[in-house]
Parts: sequence; structure tokens; C-alpha cells
Amino acid sequence: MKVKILLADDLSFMRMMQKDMLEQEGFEIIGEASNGIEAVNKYKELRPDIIVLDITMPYMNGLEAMRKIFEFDPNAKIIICSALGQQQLIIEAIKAGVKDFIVKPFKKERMISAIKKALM
Amino acid sequence: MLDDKYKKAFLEEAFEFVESANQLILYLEKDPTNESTINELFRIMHSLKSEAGLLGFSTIMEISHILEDLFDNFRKKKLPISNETINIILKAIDFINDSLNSISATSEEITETDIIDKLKQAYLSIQGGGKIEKKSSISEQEKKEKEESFLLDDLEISFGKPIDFANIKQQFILSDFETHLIESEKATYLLVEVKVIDNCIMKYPRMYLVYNNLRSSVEVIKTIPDIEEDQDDSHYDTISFIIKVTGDYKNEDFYNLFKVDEIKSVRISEIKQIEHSREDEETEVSISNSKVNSDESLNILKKSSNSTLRIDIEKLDALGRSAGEIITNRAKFEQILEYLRGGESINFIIQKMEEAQGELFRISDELQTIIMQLRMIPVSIVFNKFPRVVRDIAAKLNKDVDFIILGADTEIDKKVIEEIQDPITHLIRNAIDHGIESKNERIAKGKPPRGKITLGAYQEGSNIIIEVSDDGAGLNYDKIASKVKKLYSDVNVDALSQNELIDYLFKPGFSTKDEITTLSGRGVGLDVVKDHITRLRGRIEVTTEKNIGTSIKLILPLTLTILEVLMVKSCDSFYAIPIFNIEQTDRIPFSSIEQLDNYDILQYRNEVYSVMYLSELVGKGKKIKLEEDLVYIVIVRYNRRKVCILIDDLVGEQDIVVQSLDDVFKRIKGISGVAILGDGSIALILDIPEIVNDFVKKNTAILNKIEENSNLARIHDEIVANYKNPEVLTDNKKTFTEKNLNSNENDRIGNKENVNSENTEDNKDKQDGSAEITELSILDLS
Repeated sequence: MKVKILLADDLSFMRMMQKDMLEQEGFEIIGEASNGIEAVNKYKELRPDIIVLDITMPYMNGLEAMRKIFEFDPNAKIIICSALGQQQLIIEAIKAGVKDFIVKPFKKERMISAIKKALM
Repeated sequence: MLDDKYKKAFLEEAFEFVESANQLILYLEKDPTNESTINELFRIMHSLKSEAGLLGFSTIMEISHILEDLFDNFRKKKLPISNETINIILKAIDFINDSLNSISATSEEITETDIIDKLKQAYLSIQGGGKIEKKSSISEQEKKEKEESFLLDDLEISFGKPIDFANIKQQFILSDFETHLIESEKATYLLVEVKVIDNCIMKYPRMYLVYNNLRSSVEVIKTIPDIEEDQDDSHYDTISFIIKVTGDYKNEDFYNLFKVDEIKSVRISEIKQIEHSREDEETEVSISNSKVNSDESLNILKKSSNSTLRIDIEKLDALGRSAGEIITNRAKFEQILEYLRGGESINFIIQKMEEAQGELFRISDELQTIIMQLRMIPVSIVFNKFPRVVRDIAAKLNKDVDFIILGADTEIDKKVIEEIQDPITHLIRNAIDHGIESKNERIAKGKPPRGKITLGAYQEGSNIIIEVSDDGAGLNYDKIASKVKKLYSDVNVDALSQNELIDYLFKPGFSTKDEITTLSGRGVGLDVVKDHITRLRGRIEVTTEKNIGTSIKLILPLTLTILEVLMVKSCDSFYAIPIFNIEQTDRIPFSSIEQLDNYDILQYRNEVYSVMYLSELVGKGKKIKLEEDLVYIVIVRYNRRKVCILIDDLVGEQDIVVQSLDDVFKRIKGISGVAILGDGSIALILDIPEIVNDFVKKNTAILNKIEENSNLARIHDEIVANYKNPEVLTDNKKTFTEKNLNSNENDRIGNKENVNSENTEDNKDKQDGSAEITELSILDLS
């Protein structure tokens, strides 16, 4: 069975790129969210194997969304997606229990490798 | 054929090795048993050996191998190194340096040398006639380590030798509690060193992921750096964990804890209580790469002035932060676009837009500052080369000199650093050769027998001052004067002030030294220094006092990348003229431009200028935009030459960020760079020195004519102006020209105490002009 992934990023271009990368590797993108609230709701609804969560999102940022998702599912496999310079936020996320993080702009291999390792 | 990429990387590092080795050996000379110095030298030679070996430079490899063995022996036997040996080692390092230069130029190393034999002899002498240690000793150890390492997917796992706990205690500064914990319990303790991949962007968070994994299944006693406290990314190339494990740890479950993305390698060593009575040579291998080096003297910046630039990680982090902010900012603009599409009220959008724009302004300002800072590197990169230079020169001239470096961490633009090395060398050579007296002379003067040379750097406003001073004899004005007399028979030497005499030192072909030595006093030197400094838009100041010493200051701009320019327009394109090249701008009637032998000239405020069209200068032919016969002019100046440039429009003064032209465009005459303007259009930066020089070269005839005319015009004006003063009229023409020039000149000379390079520049130029009248103007300056 294919690994199901939920992508949450406010930039549709970013989601498109991630989707292409992941689908090429045989992952299944079961949903996309463009803000934190949507990400939490879709997580609850779709129960993906893994969620790639952008830190900077409108309405509810990635960290808040992360907390809400962990509340709902303490074993959630979350990969945080961040920009350079958001180290503090990443640490916060790691302390909260995210599996890995990727830093924009990232290469495809980085993304795939992070997801594979998070699934282990 | 050697791959260029590897060659470049190898050379960059190898030159650094050579430079550090030079430094360290000088330290060693002062303190021949200093263990950390020898250790560092050993490490350098070891690295050089392996790198040279990889690329097949067998001579360099062999030399560095012998040096490595040599240092290893000194280290083990704690033998002091004799001066003789140090000289041989320095020669060997010089040879490596030469060989590296040869590799740089031809990709071939130098293979013919007697230095290997000399080194071997030196080696044998300290070995007491023994044999050179077999090469295998180290490579075997390396091999052993290799056998014990393996790859788990892309993670490299290796095992180190057991480490003495005493060593760990020392290196890791364990608390009493932690010590007690490890000493008392029977569990297995491990030292785990984890490395991230080389280009890892966020090391600290990576390591934190590993830390998290470890915490989930083993007890983490301590981390170095302290991961809960120290969040500085630059400290996390490697992290060391002291952990407690129960049972066997050599299994996949344990290894998997380190399987975090971008983690390159893990090295696991058991921590053991090792009896101290037994001298175990191998314990030193344990944490040799943990970079615990307290010896201040070793804190050398290992950089060379190659075209690559090593950047302080903090600056890069700052850049990263700004980049991150831009991405966030970009999202704001995208959000605004969404608002626009969503039909939000225009006031709301304007407000959002203003917010985002304000942020962008701030970020771009920050970015500009950071990038300027990125170009700034400590002067130590150049300064650290000089102890060796001083040592060699002093030894050759048989002078005892102490060399002091001050302000080595002063930061300066990379471009400037590259350029100042030769000038400083000249100045230091001069100081030792001409400045510092012989030992006997010094004793006779009641001075300490050892001379003192200080090389200092400090910032003063927007300038960086590099100062070379000595406590020598000071400049000898009499000597300079007699030399001036000899070289410039038409100069009235007695009328020259001391500062003006000093000016002559910076003229080509000037040397006061009685005999010419091999090092300095070849008649080249200070003029070259001045050329360099002028090119960097700097100037030189000299202060000197008899028997107290001489100090030469090189005053340099802090950075070269930001240029104050006057933006002008011609044929609808923008051009930037550096402000410091501009004498004057004005708007004049086009009809006031006259013709002289087919050349355009302009009589303007008592001076005659040759006229150039900017449009013609950039290859668009003579075109000019006129508004009611009025035309904009910019009078530019380089050295003494002044040229009037006609432009279409004056845009205004601004600061621009200079971008150098791509290789393709580098050959365009008269253009020194480009700048991207606020609206995205491009302005070419005019290279005024080149334009003026070029113009002078091509048009010497007309310039001479103009000069004549100019002088005549001035004389004429002068006569008219002084009509009521018969004294002037009866005097020869020199006198009033002199006066005339003085009035111009005096404004420009600020500090008369010191020699102002602008001043010298003017004087120099006056000379190569045609009129002797100008020569006289110098005289009156005192």
C-alpha cells in the first residue's frame, strides 16, 4: 500500500512542487492544506501516514497546528518545513516531537530521505 | 589531468597549511618544547601528506611525511628543536610553498630538490642514527580504523579505541556528580561523536533530533557542546555525547538512533578506567578532533588571500536569517495578492502593502549591511604572514628586531586585504633596512639593542588605518634633500618643507640608502606602495622624529563595495561617476564650447578644459541634449588632469552597490563596474582614471596646447587683476602664477602636519606637466 501524505503549505507552488517530488517516488498525496486550521482538520479527517507541515502559514501557523495534531494523535509523524533562520521554531517543534524537518529551499533527495526516515 | 575543482580545493587548503606551519614554527622557535604547537604542526603535516598523496603529488607527500615524523619524534621525546633544524624545516616549507605555486600555475609539482635529503639528515640526527620510522606506522593505524567502520545506508559508523576516563574528565569538565556516576556504576559508558554532513544548513536542530532519539532509549550523561544551553549552529559540526548503555550496544537498534537525515558519521568509543602507571601513547588519538585547544598562540587564522573567501559562520547565519525573512516577506506579498483577488477594500490592502513594503525595506537594508560585512575579514590573514618576513629580513641584514602586531582582528574589505600585502611588505622591509639602526649604533645612541617594529591596524571613522612604525633613526631630511637636489636639479630644495621632502620619497626612482641592498633600496618601493594605496582610494601619512622612529600610516576606505556616485544620463542610459573623481558640475551655454584644432575645449572659470561627450565615450557618437542652448557638464579629475564631460542630464548623488563586470565585459575600457538601480535599470560606472589617462595618451598634443592657453589665460587675468600692483608686474611670470595656484591649492590641503597623499599626488603631477611654473607652486606650500 502506498504511503499517504498530507501536504500543508500556504503557497500553492510549494505544494505543487512537493506533490510532484513525492508522487514521482511513489507516495500518495491524499490531501493539501493551505493554512494551519485546514491542516489540522484534514489531518483528523484523512489520517495520513505523514504530514509535511510548513511553519509559516496564515490563520494558524505550523507550530500551533503541530500541537493540535499531537493533541489529537500523539504518534503523528510530522515533518516540519521551514525557511532558513527559523531555527528556534524548529527546535521548538523537535522538542514537541516532530520526526524531522526540512529547510527551504530543499532538494528532492532531502525531502524523500526525511520522509523515509520518519517512517522507519 | 588534474581536475580543476580538486586542484583549487587542495591548493587553498595547502596554502593555509603552509601559512600556519610558518607561524607555528616561529612560535616553536621561541618556545621549542611547546607541545600544543608541535601537535598542531604534526596535524598539519599529516593532513598535507594525505591530501598531497590523494592527488599524487609524491614529493610534497614525502616531505610532509618526513616533517610529520619529525614532529612526531619531537613530540614523543619532548626534545627541544635546534635552530638548525628549524631552518631546515622552514626551507622545506618554503619548498612546499614553491611547489604549490608551481601546481597552481602548471598543475605539476616541483620534483627536484635536495630538501628531502636534508630533512632526512636532520631526522637521523635527532634519532641518533636510527632509521626513519616506517611509513606503515600511521597507515596501519588508519587501516585498522577503516576496518572497524562500516556504512549503514548513508550513515558511517566507526569505533574508536577505548578512552581513558581521566582523559574524558579533563576534556569534558564533568561535574562531580557526573564523575561519580560514571566511576561508580558498572554500566558501559560510551563517548559518541556525531558529525553532520559538510553542507548541513541547520546543524543544531539536526543534532537535537539525534539527542531526542538517544534520550528515548539510553541515558545521556553529557553533551559537548551542551545541547540544552548552546544553540549556536556553528558549534555543531560535531557533537560528543557521553551516554550510558546497558548490555550490548553493537546492534542495529542502537545504530538506528543515529539515523537522522544529514548525519554523516558516528564514532563510538568505550570509556574505560585506564591505569595511569602505564604510559599509553594511543590515548591521545581519542578525541584529537574535538577541537579543544586552549593555547591562545595557536589561535591562528588559517586563511590565504585566494579568490575564495571563508566566512565567519555567524555572518552567514545572519544572512540566512535575512533570507528567511525575505521568504516570509514574500509570502506577505502573495497574501496581498490574494486580498486583491478576493476584493478586499483598497484601504485595507494599502495598509497591508505598506506593512509588507516597510518590512522589505528593512530586510534589504539589513541584507546590504550583512553583505558588506561578509566582505570584511580580519587583517590577521595578511598580518600573520609578516613574522616570518621580518625574521628572514632581519636575519639577512643582521639586525635584531622585535616584531609586534596590534589589532590583528580589525576587519577590512577582502579586496583591500589582497592589495595591501605588498605595500606592507615594502614598508616593513624599509623599516628594518633603513629605519632600524645597527646594533652598535643603537647602543651608542642609548637605545635598546633590539629594534622594534610594530604593525598595527585600527578603524578610524570610515577608514581603516594600517600603521607600520619603527623605533629607528627616523627619516634623514638632509639625505633626502641632497637626493632631491641630485634627481631634480630644477627644484629649490632649501625652500621645501620637511613634509614636502617626504613627498619625494614616494616618487619613482627615489632612494636615499647609500648602498643598494638586495632587499630594499632598489629605487622601487615607496612609489609602488603609493600606487597600490591610491588605487584602493587610500592615502599615506608619514610621521617621523629623529632617533625616535618613523611611522607610516596607510589610510584605507573601510569597504569598496559601496560607492558614492553622481548619476548622470546620456542617450537615455544611466552612468555613474564616482563622487571622488568629480571636481565640479554645472550647466553652461553650449555655445561657450570652442574649437581648437578640431578639439572641443571649454574656457571655464579661468581654466581651459578639453571637452568629451559622454555619448562618444561609450561609443554612441557625439550626441547631446540641449535645453535652450544649455548643457550639463561634469568636470572630472584624476591626478591633476581635469576633463570636462558633457552629459544629457544630471540625475543626482547616490550610494550604489558596485557589481564587477562579468569576464566578458571586463575588457571594456573606461567602465569599472555596473550598478543595478532601484527601478531595475542598469548604470555603468565610469572608470575616470582610465578615461582621463586614455584621453591624455591620445591627445597629448592638444593638451599641451590647452595647457599653454590656460597658462596664458591665467597670466593675462593675473596681469589684469594685479594691474594696480606694479611689483607683480615687474616680477617674472612665475610669481603670479605661483600665487594663483596657491589660492587653489591651499584649500585642498588639510593636515599639514602629515603628508597628505592628495597633496603629493598633485605635486607629482605638476611635475610631469609641461610648465615649470607649476613646479614652483610646490615651493610656496610651506
